[in-house]
Amino acid sequence: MKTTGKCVSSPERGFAWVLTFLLTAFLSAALLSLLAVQGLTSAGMHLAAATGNGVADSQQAKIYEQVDRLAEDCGFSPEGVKAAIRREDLLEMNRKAAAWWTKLCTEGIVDTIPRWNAAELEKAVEAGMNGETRTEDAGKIAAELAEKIERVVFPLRESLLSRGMSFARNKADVEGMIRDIRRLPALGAALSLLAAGLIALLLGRDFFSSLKYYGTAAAGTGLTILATGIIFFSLHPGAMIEQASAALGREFGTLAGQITLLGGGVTLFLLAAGYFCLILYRKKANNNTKATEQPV
Amino acid sequence: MSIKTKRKPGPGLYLMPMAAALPIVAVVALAVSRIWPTLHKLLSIMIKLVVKA
Repeated sequence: MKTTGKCVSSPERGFAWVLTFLLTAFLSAALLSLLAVQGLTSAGMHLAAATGNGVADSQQAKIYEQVDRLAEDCGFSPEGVKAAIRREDLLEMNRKAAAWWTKLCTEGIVDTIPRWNAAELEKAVEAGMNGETRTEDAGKIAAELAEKIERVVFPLRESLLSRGMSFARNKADVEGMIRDIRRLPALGAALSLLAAGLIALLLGRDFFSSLKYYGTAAAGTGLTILATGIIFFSLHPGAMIEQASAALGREFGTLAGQITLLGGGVTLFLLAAGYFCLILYRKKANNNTKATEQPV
Repeated sequence: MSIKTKRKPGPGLYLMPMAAALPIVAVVALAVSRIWPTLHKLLSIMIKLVVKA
């Protein structure tokens, strides 16, 4: 009679399944918090969202609409003013806005919002005046236009945010909280390693049995991330922001798309790795069983 | 005569990841369904306050 390596007893197997479930939970928590932390604090993601496809173009179109309206009301030629509002300058302002978001999310600091240079606009308004408007008004019109541009690129109430943040700082250690939130993925990873290590200790040298548990945990984590993503997006979080500001909603959409891409990649990898382990285990276990079923 | 020392793992093995994920997903879904209505109202108010129309 042939036996196939070390046979793991039933209570040990039960404990291994409990550890597998814990490994799935810890790994899911680690990866989901990693995705959330990346979305909140990654400067690269914020920059990509602020300068993404169509963001500057749609902002430019909205600003041009407002220039046309103001030109009709105040009596100046809008063409020169439109030429002064360059796409590159808008992109630069979006870059500054992204840096502002990153600073708020990583340090809890509400900086002064980026300002549009009104001097160039004033010259363009002055040059486009048709005699009906006094040249002294050019400064006021330029200032109003600059404010409109800032509102399109950065539609936030800075003073309210600043007051809210200083209130929060008085009540709690905001920086410490941000630091703790950023450590969550590492904590999840450490707990996952502990659970994986305990499974390895429990199974000893039975490497192929551990494939079953690790495969289940990896694929289970992939499925959990997938289901959580579906639940999150079925709540339409972007619609709330889009109702308040279409531009901000579009930027949130770009950011959500990037997180989806990252999360999708992680999910696919975990599902593939998990099911590969399970297939490998089943193949090996079947071969072993066949070998032990040989007539004695 | 044949002796079986281990049971052959069947295709049910591939359902184990779903069994591991199901309790976690159920907890997430339950938490979201309980919290979301209040959170949605709170977030809507906050966004309306902070974002200029």
